[in-house]
Amino acid sequence: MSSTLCCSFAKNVTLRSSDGQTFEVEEAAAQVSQTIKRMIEDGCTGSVIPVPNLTGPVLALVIEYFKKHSPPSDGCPTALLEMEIKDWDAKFVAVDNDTLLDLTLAAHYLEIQGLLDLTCHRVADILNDNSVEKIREIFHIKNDFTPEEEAEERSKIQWAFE
Amino acid sequence: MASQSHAATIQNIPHEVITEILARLPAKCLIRFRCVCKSWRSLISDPQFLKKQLHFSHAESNFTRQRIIVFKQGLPSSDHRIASSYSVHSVFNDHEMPCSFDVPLPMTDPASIIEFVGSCNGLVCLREGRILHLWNPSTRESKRLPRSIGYNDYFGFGYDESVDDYKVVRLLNNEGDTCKVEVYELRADCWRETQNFPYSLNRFAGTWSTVYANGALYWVVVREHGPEGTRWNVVAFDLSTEKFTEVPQPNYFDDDSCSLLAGHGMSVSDLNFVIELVVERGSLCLVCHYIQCCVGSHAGVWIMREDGVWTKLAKIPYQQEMKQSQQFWRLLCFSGNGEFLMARKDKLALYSTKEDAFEDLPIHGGGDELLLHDSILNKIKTYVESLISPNYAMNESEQSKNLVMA
Repeated sequence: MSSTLCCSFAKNVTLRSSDGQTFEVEEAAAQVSQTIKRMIEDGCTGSVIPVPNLTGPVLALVIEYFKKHSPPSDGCPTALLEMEIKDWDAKFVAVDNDTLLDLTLAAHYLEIQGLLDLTCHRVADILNDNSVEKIREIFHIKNDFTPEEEAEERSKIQWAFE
Repeated sequence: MASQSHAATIQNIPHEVITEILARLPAKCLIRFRCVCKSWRSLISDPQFLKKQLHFSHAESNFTRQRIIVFKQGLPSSDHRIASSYSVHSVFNDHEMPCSFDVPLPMTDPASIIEFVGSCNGLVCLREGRILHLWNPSTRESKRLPRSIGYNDYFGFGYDESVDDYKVVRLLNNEGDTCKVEVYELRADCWRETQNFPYSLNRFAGTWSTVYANGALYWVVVREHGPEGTRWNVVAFDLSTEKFTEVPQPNYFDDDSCSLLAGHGMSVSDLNFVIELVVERGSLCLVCHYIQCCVGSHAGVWIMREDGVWTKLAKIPYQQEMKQSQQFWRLLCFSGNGEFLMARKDKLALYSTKEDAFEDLPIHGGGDELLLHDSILNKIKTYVESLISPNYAMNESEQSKNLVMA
């Protein structure tokens, strides 16, 4: 109930990862996540907020994202600031595939739409230029077609492989 | 530090997230990825997924999912059963139309002539003599529509969101100053009659100016041939209510034109002009060609904003006096920073408002430079890449069959 009154200083919350690491972050920044926002509104702010789907290293990255994307205290973001954030975003997702997928999942669990758009777009870019075999390899997908079934599928769309 | 070794693989990523990722991929890539595994194959065929993918294709910036398709019919050296698809992205980013890919046309008779009827959500409606086809150039799927059509009929093709269906509208000759109207619905795969169109067929300005935007089809018709020249109406057909309405037009005699006229001691009634319609990114646009006008032939381009108000985008000067409609530059599409891709009977060019200059755009096909011929205007069209199937209803029933079995 005091959250609307304490504009003069930043209020912090503590987040705890699946492996027990804790992180302190400004409440306004953490509310970039719709999931955390709901938990704060439901009155979980007094204690530590558990984030059981994320390991410490992934949560640390997500908190970096929170800090960059928390609403500016002085009103509207400028065009220059938006450009800077765009550049920052591009660097933020220039990571190895496993980390990228972890971030994608984190964005999904924590309902961070901006991060979900960013990571899904990046994963799609990686998938775009790869062969079917390479896709299975990168993402450890088991091919559940029989050789005959796969040959039939491919023969229907031979032109798409040219 | 990198993430844990038990890192997420696509296997343990929830279905919604896979959908979010794959929906951002281009059509051709997704067609290949149907072979990755069975669950991807069923996802990439799911109608809801196809709609999501279409949504991202429309939203993609930089025109990466927008394409231009050109028929090579009538060209001595090329196979007329093949169409060539070019990237709009290359046009605006590199000022080039590099050789892209060829795609076979759905034709029943190799000797026939194919013309465009319309393009909507990645589906292209084609006319082959007395036959209509729906075709997706991105997936190469096609469907021949039932019944044969008349050579003089007019058509429009679009999407009715209220019933999630694609419709072809056919206008046929009738007695008096009206024409008969028939509507084809893709799901039901049949034609039915609806209320008459309040203009006769001989008032139509030409097939070039039939467009689909925001749930309605638009045509340009002649309102009157007066001593001062022809005056036009823009008529809309709402695909959901199936009602015709007249669309208010922009002020063609705006400050630009009036001051030019006044300078030559002329009045508004001396202006002779022709209008045509274009759709860019879902918005209705109107091009007014001012012809045989001592103030210089030029074209004005307007876009209709969401509130229904016309906003002028550009004034494009022609390099010479235009006397016949064949000589007009037709607008194909335009970029956000003032570049307009224009087609004329024998070539394509980019007009830049910033530099106030035309730049010729040679188009290449199979190594040879492709020269467009007279009737280019029915041979070139833009479309968006999508996986929407012309066998729309069938997809849905297959889907429900799968659900019952699951």
